[in-house]
Amino acid sequence: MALVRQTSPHARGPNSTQQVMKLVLLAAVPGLAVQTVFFGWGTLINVVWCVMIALASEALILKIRKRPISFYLTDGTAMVTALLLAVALPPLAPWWLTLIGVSFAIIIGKQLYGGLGNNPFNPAMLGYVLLLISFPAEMTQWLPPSGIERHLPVNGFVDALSSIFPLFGQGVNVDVISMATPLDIVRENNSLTMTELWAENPALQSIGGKGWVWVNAAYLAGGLFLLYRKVFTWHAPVGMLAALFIMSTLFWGDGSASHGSPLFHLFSGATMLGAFFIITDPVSSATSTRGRLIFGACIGVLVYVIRAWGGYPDGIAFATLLMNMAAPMIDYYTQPRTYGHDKPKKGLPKTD
Amino acid sequence: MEIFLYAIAALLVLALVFGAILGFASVRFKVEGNPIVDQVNELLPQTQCGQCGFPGCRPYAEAIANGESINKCPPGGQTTINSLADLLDVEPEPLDAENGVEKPPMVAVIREDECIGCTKCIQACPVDAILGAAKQMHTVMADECTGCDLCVEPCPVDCIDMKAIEVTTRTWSWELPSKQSQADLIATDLRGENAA
Amino acid sequence: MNLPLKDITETVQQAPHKTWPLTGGVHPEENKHQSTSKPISKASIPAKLVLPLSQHAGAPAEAIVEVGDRVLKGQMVAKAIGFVSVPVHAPTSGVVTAIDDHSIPHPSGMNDTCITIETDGKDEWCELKPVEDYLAVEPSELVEHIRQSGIAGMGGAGFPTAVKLSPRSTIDTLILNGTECEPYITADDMLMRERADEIISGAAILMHLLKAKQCLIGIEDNKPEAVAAMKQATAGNPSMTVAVFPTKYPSGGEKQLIQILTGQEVPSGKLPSDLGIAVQNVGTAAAVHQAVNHGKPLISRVTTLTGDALGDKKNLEALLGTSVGELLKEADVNGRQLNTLVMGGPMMGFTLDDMTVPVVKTTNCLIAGSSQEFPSSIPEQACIRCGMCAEVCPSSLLPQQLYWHAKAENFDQLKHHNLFDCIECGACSFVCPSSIPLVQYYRASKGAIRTQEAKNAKAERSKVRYETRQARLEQEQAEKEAKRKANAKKAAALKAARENKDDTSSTAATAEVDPVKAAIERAKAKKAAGGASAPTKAALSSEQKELKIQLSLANAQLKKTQRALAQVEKSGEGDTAKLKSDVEMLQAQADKLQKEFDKASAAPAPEAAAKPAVSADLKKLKVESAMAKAALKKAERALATALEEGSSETDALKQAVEEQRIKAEELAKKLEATSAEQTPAAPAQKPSADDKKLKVENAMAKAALKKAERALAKAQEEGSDTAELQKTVDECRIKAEQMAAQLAAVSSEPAPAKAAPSKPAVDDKKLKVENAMAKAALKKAERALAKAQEEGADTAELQKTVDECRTKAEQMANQLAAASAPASEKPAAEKPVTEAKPAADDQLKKLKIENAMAKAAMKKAQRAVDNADGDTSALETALAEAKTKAEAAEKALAEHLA
Repeated sequence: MALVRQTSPHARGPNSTQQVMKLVLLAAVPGLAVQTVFFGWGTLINVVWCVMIALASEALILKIRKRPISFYLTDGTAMVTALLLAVALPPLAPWWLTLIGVSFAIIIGKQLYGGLGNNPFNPAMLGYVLLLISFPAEMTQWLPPSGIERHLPVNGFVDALSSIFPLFGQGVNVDVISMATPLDIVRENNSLTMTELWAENPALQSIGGKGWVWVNAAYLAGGLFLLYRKVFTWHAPVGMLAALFIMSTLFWGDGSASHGSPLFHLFSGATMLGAFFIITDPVSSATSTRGRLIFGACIGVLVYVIRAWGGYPDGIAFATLLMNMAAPMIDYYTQPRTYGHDKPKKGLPKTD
Repeated sequence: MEIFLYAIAALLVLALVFGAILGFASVRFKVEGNPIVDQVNELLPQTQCGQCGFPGCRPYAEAIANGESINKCPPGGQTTINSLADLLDVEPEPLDAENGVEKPPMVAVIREDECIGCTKCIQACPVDAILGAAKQMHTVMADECTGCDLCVEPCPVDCIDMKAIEVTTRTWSWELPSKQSQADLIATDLRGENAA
Repeated sequence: MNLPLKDITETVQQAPHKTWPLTGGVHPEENKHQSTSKPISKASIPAKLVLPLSQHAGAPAEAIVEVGDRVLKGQMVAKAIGFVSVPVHAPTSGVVTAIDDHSIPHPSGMNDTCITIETDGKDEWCELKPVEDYLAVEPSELVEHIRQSGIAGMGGAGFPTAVKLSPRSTIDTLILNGTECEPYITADDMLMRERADEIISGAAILMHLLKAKQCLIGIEDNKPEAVAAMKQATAGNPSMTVAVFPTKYPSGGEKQLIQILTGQEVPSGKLPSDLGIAVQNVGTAAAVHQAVNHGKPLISRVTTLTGDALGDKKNLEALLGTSVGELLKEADVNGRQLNTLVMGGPMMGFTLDDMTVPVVKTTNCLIAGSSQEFPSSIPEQACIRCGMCAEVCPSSLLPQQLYWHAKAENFDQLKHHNLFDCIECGACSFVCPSSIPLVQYYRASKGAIRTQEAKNAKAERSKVRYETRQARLEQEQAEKEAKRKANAKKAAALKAARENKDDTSSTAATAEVDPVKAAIERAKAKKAAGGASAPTKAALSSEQKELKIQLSLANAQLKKTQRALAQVEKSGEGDTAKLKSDVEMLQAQADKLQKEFDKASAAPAPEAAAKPAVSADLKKLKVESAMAKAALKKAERALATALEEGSSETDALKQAVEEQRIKAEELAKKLEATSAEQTPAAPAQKPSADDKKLKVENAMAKAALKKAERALAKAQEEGSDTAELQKTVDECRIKAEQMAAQLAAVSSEPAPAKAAPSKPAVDDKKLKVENAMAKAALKKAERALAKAQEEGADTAELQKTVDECRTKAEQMANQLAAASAPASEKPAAEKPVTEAKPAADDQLKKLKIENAMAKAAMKKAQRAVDNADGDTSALETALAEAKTKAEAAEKALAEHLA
């Protein structure tokens, strides 16, 4: 009888990376569904296309790096990256835009740093920012959420597919039907008071803008599910949302200089997606709970700053990348005090 | 023309002032660093075996400080080479096989009933780890023995054995997992590292 | 004592003790209920017990029994060596069948020394020595009793309990650890349920020993029955409190438990005792009770047998040394299901791969796990920095950082990140989503750091030793050099003096000669004085000594009194008359003593001198000769200096030198004559000296030969010109042979002159040495041959050398055998003559000793009788016995002498 010899502990917790990633994907389903309902098939097509590119580029790099391919592909991290990038892209983003973004995210943003666990930046946001800077026109062509007009210009699956992949036929001209997002509308506004703006613009019907409220609510639900399943701790999301709330309350007003109400900021744009799915990426965020609270709060502040005074429609991506850079410093200053020690030891050991 | 001269004069004055400050600082804040020989000597295993071709660790340390290559110490092995490379900021090289191969730590043991008490090994021992007197049986103080095997050759009756220090339950410890479970996972990778 | 639940609620009356939350921690599946359904039962006595000598932390014990000894239950079989060590006792009666290496419970799966006892089934106790009233015994004695009972911490670490009971600082709180936070284990739980009274009794002893004011008994809230039993047992004792706190792993760690129960943290690098706290396991307390109140050493323990592969999960009280396989059989093991065998808990225990491993003092649990229960570890994935490990770490370490540094083997960083505060609880590995065996990384790093530190310490020591040696050699060299230089200088001066001899002018400065002469004179005077006084001094007998001491005492007294008298006279006060008479008296006494002393020293002088007259003469001559020589040398030196300085007064000096030389020669001649007279035996030793010299030369010749041969071999190997070398070798060989022949001749010659019995031995030794050397040569040659063969070089020559060496070695061996045969025969033949005497002597000695001992015993008995006031009849009989014994001994001695 061959008895197994291995090191303790012999008992193992239920956690595994695959399990975590599966839960993240599962929690994103409601948001994805709502987005599809409001913005059409394009979103779903994008997700599938992104996942395909992500898996292919990951496999390619793993092959070049001589790593076991199936072992790393099945951990699900590439899929999560692809999903996050896909839902952040405009629904009818052309195929090549997605290809560039996702392959950059996986190859440059993740694998070239050494693969999973070694990337200093959130790969999805890296890809997104690359596209936003390189192709600002394509990246701001959001469709109007359905419901504003009953007859959606792009509601058919074929239409959406052919818009993204011109190969499949003549798609719709996105330029014609696209419109600014509520965040854009509020930022661009410098003449109307908030009440007037809301009354005038059909896209701003509810607090966060038509459709966007529901998308955010769905992601919030998914995030709460992940919290319940202890996939991550509450620190980063709460830090970010609280900071965003405080910032928007401070600079709130009804005049034309206003940047929108706190609720508008919480339920518009990619706020909830960012708070629960993007900044909770463990690899590129701070490590300790205290650090994560700070990390989230700083992102919240930056998001508001970019939204209110910056030149881009949303600030989640930039804020996340900026704070990714600051994560090591946050870790450095939030080291816990070890049991039996008076104070935490920081930095490197002294060499003599 | 005048302004040109002013500029030169100003620069000259500035250069003098800063030069003085620098000169003062270099004297005032002079760092009494460990001489490099001592630092190198600290890293060497102090077996005093002479396998490097020098009559002890310190002479080799002095030689290294004067440009001798750092890969001549078999008892220290790759670890010592790496730390020396680190200290001297040079590329680590593989051990020079000419000087011997890396062996597990050894200890000399005298087969005492065969010892004739010639004291030759005592004279050979670089760290005075052998006890004995003329015509008396000799013995090795195992704790002090560096395993340099310099005592083996002089023994006229060949009664000194070099024995590897065995691992006991008291000295045993777990190995890093990478040497066990990960071996198959990134075997290709390991091959790559070895080739490099 | 399984209390029904309703009783529990009734007994819980005490105000709950305040507890603090544990930092971090995890909730693994408990799996405790499976093994608590049955009460503790006794395991049967197996046929064989294997007792490792190292069942505890610290130095291993040392066996004090031998193979074949019969041991009784509870008898000590191995004693503690050092302070941090405990002895081992026989768990049942039987016979020791082996003391050798056997597999022991250790994560390495290695073997260690064990005592094997074949049991006889009688289970016979040895004599038990309980402590009657532990309050009346000295605490140090009680601690020693506990130590000798072999008690080591039974929670898992096995730290000797007696060490913990001798703290450096005062203890005010004793904490009994009944936490048992590891899943599966229920040994302490069942012990608390069933033997709460024993635990409390043990705790009382521990409190008494530590002088602790209170005792906290920490139990997790998943053991309500144990809590109830303990509360009931402590009901009447206000100093003992049962503290219940939420279940969370690893709250049972010593430092963690202290944090939970007192809110204090044990500072890093310090001990709980520094906080005035001592922590003991409940099992240890029960063992202390057994040891003190019943005198029973630690020979058995409660062990949980559980796991999916067991049909009958329960707690057994097993004898230490019972093999694991034997115990599992009692729990109905299913061999097919058994996949992993864990000793200890699933979080910190270690796997066993051998069923013959014995149960030891720290074995609290055996888990026979199936493959579903403990699936084999999945390959390690990349760390995703999720931070869960840091959240669960009870020591608030950064497991992630430690992991990175451990992987990079960056020891400085690991130490900086407090690796050594890690308690290896396994919580981080448990939660890691990437299945990284973090604990193994830490353990490996700790081991590597310890090894490296030991290595560095050794290197440092070696360095110091090397440098000291180097300094010593240098100093010796310098001394030699200095001597050589001085000699050279002198020689040069002498040479110069000789050269200058002719052209030295006659104008001499007498002043320069004078000191030399004076010195010579002084030396002479000294010599004379020495010659006169030396014998007297040396011949001081004990009588004289005593007299002298008395004399000096009297003198001192006299002086003191005189001084006092002077003072009194000066001040004009006090009784001067009395002092004066005192002084006179003392004076008289001192005079008398002086006289006596003089007489005494005069009388024995000739007597003492008479005996060693001859040798004293010789000695004197020798001394004189040496002095003359020295004087000669000095004179020569003075002459040299004078010459060097070109002074003219060298003639006188030369003359003086000449004189001295003649004198020295004379003395030397005289000395030779005298010593020849006195030591006719001396020349006999000469041959042996010659012999020695020859031997050394012989050895040197041989060594030279060897070296030459080696050089030749090397040259041949390298294919260079060997003709010259060959010649050298031949020469050397011839020389060596010559030497050997000479040596043989010489050594055979003086042999008869030497004492007969010693000769064969010497020869024998020589032969042995030669034999050994021949063997060594053979070995070396063989090795060279092997190497050459390996390298594919020409081996014919080497083969020949080897053959030659072999023949030589064989010859030597034969010779040795031949030599040692007569040597061993001879003593046999001489037995009646030579051996008989030593034998007789031996017997005589023995008898004498016996006689002396008997006499001593008699004396002792006599003294006892004298001292005793009560009933002396028993003593008197003992005395009578001793007397007869002494008489018998004396008679035997007398007979033997006759």
